[in-house]
Amino acid sequence: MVELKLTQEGKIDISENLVSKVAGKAAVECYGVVGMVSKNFKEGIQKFLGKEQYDKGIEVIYKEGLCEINVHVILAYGGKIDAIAQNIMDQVSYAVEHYIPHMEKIVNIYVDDIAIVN
Amino acid sequence: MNAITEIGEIKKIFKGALAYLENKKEEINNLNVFPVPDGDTGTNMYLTMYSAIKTIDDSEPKNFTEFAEALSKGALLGARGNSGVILSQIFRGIAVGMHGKRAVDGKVLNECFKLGTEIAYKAVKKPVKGTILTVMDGISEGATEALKKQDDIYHVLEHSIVAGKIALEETPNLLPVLKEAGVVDAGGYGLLIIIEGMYKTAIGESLIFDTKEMVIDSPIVDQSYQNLDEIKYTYCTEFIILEPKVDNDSLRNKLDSPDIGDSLVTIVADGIAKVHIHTNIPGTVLDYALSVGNVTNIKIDNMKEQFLAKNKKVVKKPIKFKEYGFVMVVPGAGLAEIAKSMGVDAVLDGGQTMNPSTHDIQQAIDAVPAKIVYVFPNNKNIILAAEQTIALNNDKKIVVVPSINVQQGFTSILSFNEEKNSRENLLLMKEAFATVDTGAITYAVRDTQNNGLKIKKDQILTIRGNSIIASKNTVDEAVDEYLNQAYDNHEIMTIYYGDKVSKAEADKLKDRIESKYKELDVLVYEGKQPVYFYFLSLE
Repeated sequence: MVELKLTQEGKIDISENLVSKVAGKAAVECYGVVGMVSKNFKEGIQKFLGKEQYDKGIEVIYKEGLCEINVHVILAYGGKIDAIAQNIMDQVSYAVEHYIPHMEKIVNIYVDDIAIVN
Repeated sequence: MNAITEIGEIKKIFKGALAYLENKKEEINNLNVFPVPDGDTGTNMYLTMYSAIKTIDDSEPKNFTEFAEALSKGALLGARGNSGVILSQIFRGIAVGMHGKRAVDGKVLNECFKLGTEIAYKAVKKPVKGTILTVMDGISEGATEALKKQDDIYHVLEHSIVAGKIALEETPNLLPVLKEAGVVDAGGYGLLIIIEGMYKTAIGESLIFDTKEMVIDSPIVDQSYQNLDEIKYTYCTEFIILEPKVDNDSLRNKLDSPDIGDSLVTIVADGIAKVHIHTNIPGTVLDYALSVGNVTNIKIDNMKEQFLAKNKKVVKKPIKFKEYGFVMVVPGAGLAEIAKSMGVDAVLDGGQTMNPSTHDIQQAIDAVPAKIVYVFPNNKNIILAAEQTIALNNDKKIVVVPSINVQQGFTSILSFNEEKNSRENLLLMKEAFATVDTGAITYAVRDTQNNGLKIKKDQILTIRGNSIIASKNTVDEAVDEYLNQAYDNHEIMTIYYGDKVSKAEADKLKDRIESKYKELDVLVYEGKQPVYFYFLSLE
């Protein structure tokens, strides 16, 4: 669980899965992203993830009060990879901040593959 | 039937579009609410297109194929931000359509727009409706419709703009976040500006504003240089020519030369011209300007100096956040010293009668560059104020340790373990409260009754934890009463003596206690706290 708030009265925890979904939805809508790579590689490369699988490809590790969000993506061939990755980072970070404020986080982007489409 | 057959002509059209985009950059930035409202869409699109135009200039293309390759490569290399990346893909498509052509007529342009749309869409699996892609759709459809009537590049451009505008107006209906903000899509608007700029340049309208005021107010934002060597021309020179004797084209023809400088921007309206150029010979540029009209608002900056000054500032190291920090409220200068020696980063003065406010605590937190800040209120009445800071800090996590006195604060800070997370530490610290028995010796300010005790003004009071347990006539009696009630095979007693007590008196007390309680080690510290003769703790 990700600890969001701690007061004398009690605490608010949210699940890693919730963070994954928010981050995943933002990531798959990013320009340049054509797919996500599942976090447990046994499932192999997911070509495209539908609505119910927003959290696939997102790995959330909560440690020492810090939420680490690792985003594994497949990009389309032909775009400037660093610019696209930066956009994903910005957009995921913005979406998470928007829906889950006050959570300390870092967003890492892993470009696992490039899809060459003609 | 109009068509573009000269490379010079297509270059001019793209350059005109860039200049038009530059002028509208701020306007585009202000529309930016999606996907991240950081107000940089216009700047990103401009820098992306700037890179494309610079690559075209540098490669000196001799045919449309070379032009297209430079356009595609330059945009790709310079792509910045979301809209910039998409724009680079649109340009890539346009380049594919231009490849191998000898002229760009209506038909070729339509093909370019179609491919631009197609390639741009290929790089996204879940295109969001109501963005730059939606506007590109409109532009492309407009071109196709126009071509049915007339294979004329001006005609096709004109109708693309009309259809693009309709698509742009539709964006708030497709993307709710735009509607909420009451704007159209910034990237889509930027794209439309580029196409409009092309059209205006093609028909000879570019950079011509309607009024003098618009010319004077028009911002010119330079691209930023990454290093000193990039600055070929040192002086950024800007001025306004009133009633110029020459038109925009002659002005540009005269100044647009590597012998004079680069980054030329001319903005003109009836009876006024604004000129911006980077040059090593500002005198020559001004001499020419004076020969064609009266010159005003002259501004000449040495960009190398500016660059060095700016980068000096940047060298300043950003403050590095450490993992954790401590803020503690203590009464008295001596206790503040002890707190600091225990590793507390910021100490707030606060006695029984002067509780720090949430604002005061927040100021102390601000002074601590740490990711997690533990706050020790050391007073029941300050805990609430301390907890209110939790909501005020976005970049820091605030953990309030509910210590009710300074002895608890000190004991709990000693149980802190940096290997554990904040929740575990809070538990550890709360557990530490139970290992210490705390007392305080003070005097009554007035007659009162408490817990069945009749208390007279100026009597000495013994406090254990939060309650008054006895009222005595001397300080020594009061301390003895505390030990009578609290002592339970403890090993260490700590005494913090207040500002009304001398070191000699405190040492005398220590000797007296140690002779009575043989198992007890007594430690004496100067607390300098007001009101309280002693703070005591047994553990």
